[in-house]
Amino acid sequence: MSLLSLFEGLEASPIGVFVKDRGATFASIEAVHLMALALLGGAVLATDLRLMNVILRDVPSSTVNQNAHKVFKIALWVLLITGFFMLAGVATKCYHSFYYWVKMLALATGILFVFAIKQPLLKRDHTLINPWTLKFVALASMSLWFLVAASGRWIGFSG
Amino acid sequence: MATPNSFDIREKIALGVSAVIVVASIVYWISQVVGALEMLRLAYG
Repeated sequence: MSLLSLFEGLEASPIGVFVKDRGATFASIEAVHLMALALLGGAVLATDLRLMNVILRDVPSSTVNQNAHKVFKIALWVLLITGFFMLAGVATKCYHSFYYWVKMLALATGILFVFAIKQPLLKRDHTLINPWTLKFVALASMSLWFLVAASGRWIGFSG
Repeated sequence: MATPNSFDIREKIALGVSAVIVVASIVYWISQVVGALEMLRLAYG
């Protein structure tokens, strides 16, 4: 069973048909997807700009990170669930789209980076972490999630 | 005990991975901009 046949099967499945059947279904799911993306983007920016000492300088970075990470996790779950439904509706288009695969690679890297590198590092006392490490980690995080958002939008433009 | 100016192994890994991601992002976006400029040149001369 090839990856293409998996995607074709998903689009032909009851979920795929349900999403594709009416334009309003896909649009509604996409609206929720975009709101969750805004939430995730806000959580990422709040944490990373604080780590770079740009915003919220009067609030401890550990406090910003702890609270923003809760929002990040909720937003990520919503994105993954709504993203799956959206994929079901346009699976073969996504399979053939270069930018879909860029988005998936960036998403996988982003999730791994957050849970395997960034959060374990930030669980420690931030005053004991080299400030340049914090800045670089923040920059990498913003780069990854920006790429996820941009390539996601690009899928729509690339027909 | 780690001090803010020293790096322990976890920090080194985080820094290394972050540097790779940042460099890869720069390379990716430069290639995208170059590709777009080339396409515009082909389309409009």
